[in-house]
Amino acid sequence: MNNVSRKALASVAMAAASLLVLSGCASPKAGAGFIECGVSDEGSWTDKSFNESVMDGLMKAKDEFGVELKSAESNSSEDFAPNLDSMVAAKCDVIFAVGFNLVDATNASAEANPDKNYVIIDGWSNGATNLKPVGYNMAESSYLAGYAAASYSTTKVVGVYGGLQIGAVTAFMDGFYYGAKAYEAETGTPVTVMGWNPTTMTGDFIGGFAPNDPAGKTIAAGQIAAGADVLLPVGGDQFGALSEAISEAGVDAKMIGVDKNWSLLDEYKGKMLTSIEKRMTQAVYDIVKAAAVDKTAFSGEAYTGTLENDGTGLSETEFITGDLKTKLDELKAGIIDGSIDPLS
Amino acid sequence: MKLELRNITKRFGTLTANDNISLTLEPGEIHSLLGENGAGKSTLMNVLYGLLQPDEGQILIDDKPVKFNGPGDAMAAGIGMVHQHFMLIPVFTVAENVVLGNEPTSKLGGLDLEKARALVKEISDRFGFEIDPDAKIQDLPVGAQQRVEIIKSLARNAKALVLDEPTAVLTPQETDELMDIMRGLAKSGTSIIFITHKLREVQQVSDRITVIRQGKVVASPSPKSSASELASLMVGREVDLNVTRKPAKVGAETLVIRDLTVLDDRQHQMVDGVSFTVRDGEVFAIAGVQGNGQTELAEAILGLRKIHSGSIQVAGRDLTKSTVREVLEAGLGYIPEDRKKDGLVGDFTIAENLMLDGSFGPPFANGFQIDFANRDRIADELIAEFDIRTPSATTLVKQLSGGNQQKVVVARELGRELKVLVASQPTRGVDVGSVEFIHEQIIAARDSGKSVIIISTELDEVLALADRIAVMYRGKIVGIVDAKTTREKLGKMMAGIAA
Amino acid sequence: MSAKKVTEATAIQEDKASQVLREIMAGDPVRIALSVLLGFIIGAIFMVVFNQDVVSSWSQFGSDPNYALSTVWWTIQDGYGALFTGSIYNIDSASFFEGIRPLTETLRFAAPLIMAGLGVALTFRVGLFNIGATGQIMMGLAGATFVSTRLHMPIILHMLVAVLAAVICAMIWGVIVGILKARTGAHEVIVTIMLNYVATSFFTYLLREPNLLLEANGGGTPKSDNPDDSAKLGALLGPEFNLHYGVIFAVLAVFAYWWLMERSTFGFRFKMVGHNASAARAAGIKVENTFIWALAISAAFAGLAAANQGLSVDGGLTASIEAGIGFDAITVALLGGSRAGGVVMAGLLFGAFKAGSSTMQVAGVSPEVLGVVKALIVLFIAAPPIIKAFYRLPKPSIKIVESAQKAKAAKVVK
Ligand SMILES: Nc1ncnc2c1ncn2[C@@H]1O[C@H](COP(=O)(O)OP(=O)(O)OP(=O)(O)O)[C@@H](O)[C@H]1O
Ligand SMILES: [Mg+2]
Repeated sequence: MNNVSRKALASVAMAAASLLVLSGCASPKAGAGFIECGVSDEGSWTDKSFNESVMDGLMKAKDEFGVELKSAESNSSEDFAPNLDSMVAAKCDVIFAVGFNLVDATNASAEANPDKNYVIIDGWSNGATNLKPVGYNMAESSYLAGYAAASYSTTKVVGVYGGLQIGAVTAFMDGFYYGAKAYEAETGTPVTVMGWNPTTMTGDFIGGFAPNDPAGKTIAAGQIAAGADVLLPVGGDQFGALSEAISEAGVDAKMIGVDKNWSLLDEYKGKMLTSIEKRMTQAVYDIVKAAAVDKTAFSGEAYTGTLENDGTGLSETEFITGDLKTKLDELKAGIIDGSIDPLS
Repeated sequence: MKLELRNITKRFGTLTANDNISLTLEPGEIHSLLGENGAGKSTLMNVLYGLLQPDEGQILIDDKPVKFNGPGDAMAAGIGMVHQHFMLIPVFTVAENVVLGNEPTSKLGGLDLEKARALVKEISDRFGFEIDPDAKIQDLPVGAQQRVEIIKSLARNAKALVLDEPTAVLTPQETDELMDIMRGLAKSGTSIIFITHKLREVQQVSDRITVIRQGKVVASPSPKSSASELASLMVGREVDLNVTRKPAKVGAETLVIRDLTVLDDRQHQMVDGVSFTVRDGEVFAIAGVQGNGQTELAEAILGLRKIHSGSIQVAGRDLTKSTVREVLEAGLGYIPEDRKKDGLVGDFTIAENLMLDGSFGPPFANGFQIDFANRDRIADELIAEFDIRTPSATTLVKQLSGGNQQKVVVARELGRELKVLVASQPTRGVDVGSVEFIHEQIIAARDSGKSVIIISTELDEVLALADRIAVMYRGKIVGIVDAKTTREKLGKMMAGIAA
Repeated sequence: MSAKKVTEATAIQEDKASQVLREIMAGDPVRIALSVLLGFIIGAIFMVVFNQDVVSSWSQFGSDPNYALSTVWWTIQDGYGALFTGSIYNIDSASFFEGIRPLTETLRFAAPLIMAGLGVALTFRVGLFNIGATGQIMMGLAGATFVSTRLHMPIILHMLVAVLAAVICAMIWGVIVGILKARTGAHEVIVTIMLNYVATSFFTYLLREPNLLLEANGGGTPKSDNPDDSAKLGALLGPEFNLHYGVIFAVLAVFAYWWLMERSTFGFRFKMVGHNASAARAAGIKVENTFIWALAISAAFAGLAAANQGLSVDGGLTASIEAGIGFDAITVALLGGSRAGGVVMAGLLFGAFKAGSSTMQVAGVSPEVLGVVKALIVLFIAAPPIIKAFYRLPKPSIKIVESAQKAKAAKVVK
């Protein structure tokens, strides 16, 4: 969906909602009168990444519960505090802040406005009880992805690389590595994981999160040349660059998406083995539902997305079928009941 | 085509540049416009060409009123104008330039260069222009470029041509050729409005003369009038066309140049082993056809151009490797040949232009700050002393008429303490009254004991001012002769025949 | 074509560029005001056209024209009303003191835009197309961040040293451009673009290295520690307001710029070079050195903007704290006609846009609308001279005429 129509849609819905409230001609929905708000990380609400996933959750909640939505995009870190201020002024009932970049500003705002409720996606609370951190255990789903990759690979060489060597990225890479090695242990077929070694903590990193960074393409080309036929880039939207690297090498390699289901995008149909989803949309929806519809008391207790609560997981694709699917479900159950440790 | 300007008035703010001017142009006549600098000639022509809108009055073609909203309308009505600054693209050929904006197309819609070439050739042959349609503009001398401008107008079927000071940039030979061309055009029915400050040219070609003073038509003298009659009509008083001067009282050798060799931007040797000395209290003229190294010589003296070999001394001080600022501070004054490019900042006020090279210290600067009180006082003094016609010292220089711009440069350079004055074409584009005035100033500088170098392509000027004359040809000095040398002899020297 | 000819051609080309620049600068206040107004009007059209509420009401125009028209009106009023509320005065607030908070936010956002804008303006007046403020700010940020997080000094002194470090680091970056231009003839547009990239990457690199600027106890993302309190630009109006001492620096910068350009001999020479470099040369001015000086001083202003950004953060900074100021500075300088007063007005306008952006979004206006308004204003101001330059036949300067003659004369010599 393109930017304009996406925007336009947002304003239709928004306008429609306010019209409903004003005219009172429709039966009020469960969440009427509740105001949910969002402040984006640097970038727009249509960034195909974190911001968009959160916005999708907010829109879903709005459509279903009739809550009012107010949102503001941040162009730079300079905008975080003023945007949060505007939300406080707009009398929001819950304010979602997207991304760890907003951790400081959101903590500050939460402390200054103890009567407001905040949610920080992918961040943490410095102790404020009116701030709910939302985090994910990505190693769990990445473990499944690693296994799937090793199993699908014909060369039995798989590759992974990251944006920067930081915890949020290496969690994926750890899980992926151990998942692939689990396949090796199980079948006895040696599997090579390129780009990350969890014991020495060394691997391939792009050096940033700029979309389709050419440096990422270079790394990918190297891994492909060394035989990798399934690749996982952990650094936002690197898939344009990665598909180029694949087609330039002339091989039939598959990619693994991160954060959301990339195989839904036309340009990546058939190129994605699967995606490691960070289901923010669901988390956001759940939190709004609890506050606006179920009227449960808001708490600062952390929400962690796991395989168990479906906060993270693999996307279904045409490649995840039959025995592999059965095996992945088995592994998933093992992780949920604790019999499998995704980090070993 | 009969062209008539009826009761044209054009004001710039409080200034009335054209005041109820009426003028007719009969088919096939050469009509000269005479007037002092700032009289309003160019303004009137810009109105005629649609570049300016008159505040009052009408333009009539064959007795029918017309309105020009821009040069396009004027061109369509058969009026052509050749500006002093040509509007040609240097890297294009003559034919390409001529058809630019009006390109003949082949059946397929492409540019039909053949047609363009034929057109240029036809016009060129008809009037004896001798222009090669395939020559690149940048390879042509100024006179030929000007002819290309004329061809451009004729190619658009111009029936009336405006030539605003076309001869200011031409050599004497080129001027003669232009006069012939003008006569030829007139004979074929094209009418011409001709603006010049050179009375001799007016006398040579005019069928009719109109004199404008301070925006008004003041006289329509007969083409047979004498130069001094025309001059006094223009200026409104008697003009002495011959500078009277006392014999030079020469002193020490202040400027000494030895074996000077200078290269141009393309590494061609433009000044070739030139040596001469100029003494206090004398005017030393350097005559020669444009492009024989005079420009580079002047630039080298000022320190603008690197000296390849040789030396320059001013009052015993070696300035061979000095910067421009050091040269200026050593007491050299410089009137550049191209005032627009090297002498003035058009977007600065007159007061600012009068301190252009004085920003480094008193009287214009007080520490790091401009001394505005001094600046304005000096500006007012110089405007009065040099008779710069302007509403105020805060007028932008680009709004002044050409001659008044030149006076700003002269005033600045002569307005400070000097040892040596180097003046290139000091009276280019200046009216006769101002020529007289500038010449008097130069002689006054000489008489106060300064060394003066005049670089001029005009023999009249050289003969009027010089105590000694050097003739340059192909970068060398052909000879240094005294001021009584005949025109014929000088003319031969300028063609490279040694004395 | 010989190399010499090529350089001559580029010189003429550059003449053209700075001529356009001069014409843009010379834009009269009325035209600028009209451009701003027109920008707002077209912005309003965008607001309306992309508002589905309006679109759907117009589909019922036949049955309810009043409603259709009033939705148009309300959309515009809500949008620009929110801009006013967010940037000037909040009518809904309890006290006057609280109500002017938006205005103080506008001032806070305007300060760095004005400082960087003055820097760009200065080079514009010297005839340089300097678009390097971004890089200079990045280098300034590096300097300020190093001093404010890695060195420890008494209050005030620490802040002053940090500001000075920002200014010096930025100046180094500006001088590099000047030297490259003066010594090698490299065009400043290309040089500044490249140096912007280099500086941004360099600063991010510094932020990533644990023993350079990376925060001590963080998650590993490229981000600095919080600056020492002693180095921060303190609050100007008490803790309820975000406004800090940066705005004082901006006021001082404006006066410094005004004095420099309108009163001092430096400014006189800068303007002379900008208007007519060859006349300046003949008047004894070293044009190349003037370029270097202009770029250095220009960068110092950008350095002040960097200090403003780097020393006013809460909780560490990332490269994004540059916040597009270096780029906006170009627009601010253009819009302000490169004059001190104009730059202040333009900076305030853009500051208001930044301050009002979030309230507008809360009111349902997409943030792109303000971007469109900004872009249109620049377009209306800058486009006419550029279009003219494209369509105007190049006038050969006397220089060409003469060099042609010289070439002819030279041919005769050989
Ligand atoms: N655009 C302008 N704005 C203001 N004043 C102007 C403008 N153009 C011309 N003038 C003024 O109008 C008067 C007439 O100028 P004009 O150029 O017509 O003189 P001119 O007769 O062509 O002189 P010259 O022989 O020196 O070329 C002058 O005083 C000049 O300063
Ligand atoms: Mg004139």
